[in-house]
Amino acid sequence: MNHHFKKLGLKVPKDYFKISREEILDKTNLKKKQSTENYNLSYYYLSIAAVFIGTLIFYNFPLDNEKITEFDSNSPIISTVISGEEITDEYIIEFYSESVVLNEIYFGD
Amino acid sequence: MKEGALLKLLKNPTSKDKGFKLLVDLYQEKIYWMIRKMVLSHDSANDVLQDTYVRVFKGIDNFKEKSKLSTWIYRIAYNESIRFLNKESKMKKIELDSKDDNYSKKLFADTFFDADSLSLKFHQILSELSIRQRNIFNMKYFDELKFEEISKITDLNINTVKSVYYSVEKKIKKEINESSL
Repeated sequence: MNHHFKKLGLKVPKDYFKISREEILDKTNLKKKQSTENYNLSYYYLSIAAVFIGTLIFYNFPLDNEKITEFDSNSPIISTVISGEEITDEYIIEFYSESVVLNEIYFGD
Repeated sequence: MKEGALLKLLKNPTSKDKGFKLLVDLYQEKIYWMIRKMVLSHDSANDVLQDTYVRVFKGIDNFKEKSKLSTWIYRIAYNESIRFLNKESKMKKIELDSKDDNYSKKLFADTFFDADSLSLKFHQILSELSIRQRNIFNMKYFDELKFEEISKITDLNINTVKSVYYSVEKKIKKEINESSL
């Protein structure tokens, strides 16, 4: 292909065809490898995600339905949810003093 | 290695990689020079060459053997080069029957261009041809392809290819002779 230089003055870098050959082979082979690696990675991450989600469900959601409605009704915050009142300092003080009174009424000696 | 044997290697999944390496060894240089004369800069030719081989690799399973394997590869390279030129021109699709207005600009911007007075004269004549005329002339004169192959690569009638080539050849000879007087 020397006439490309002699007649047209076109040159290529040193060892170009050798380097280019490797680049072409890399490009075609890499694409294959990359796609299989991508599949392998996605299966790996999917299985980890599945185990993680399963663990979360197991430890956070009670299997017994009754437990779902179990909450501490003695808490002033929960009681505001039930009664629809605002949480204020006065409300909390009143709540505790009322519970002390009720305790005395029902459980007092 | 004969094309039939090479094709057998390429079509068999277990020997495809080996066949592809042979295919690169056989045609890489020839294909590069065809592309280089179309896109002019070395860097662009390198990109188009790689894209061509990626397409060949992906498409070899669907090669119907309606033409020679080499013609099919040249055709892919030719189409990739046209695609590149279209992408490069951005504003409008290139017209193969018109001149490339940026011919000299692209050529002189390339680091791997080193012309003497004869080369410059050659380029000056080539730059005045339409893109199609230039491609046909280059494929016959420099790449030594047969008229039939050029016809299949460019999707043109063989008689058109012949008449374009001979008229361009005559013009170039005349201008070179005149300038050397």
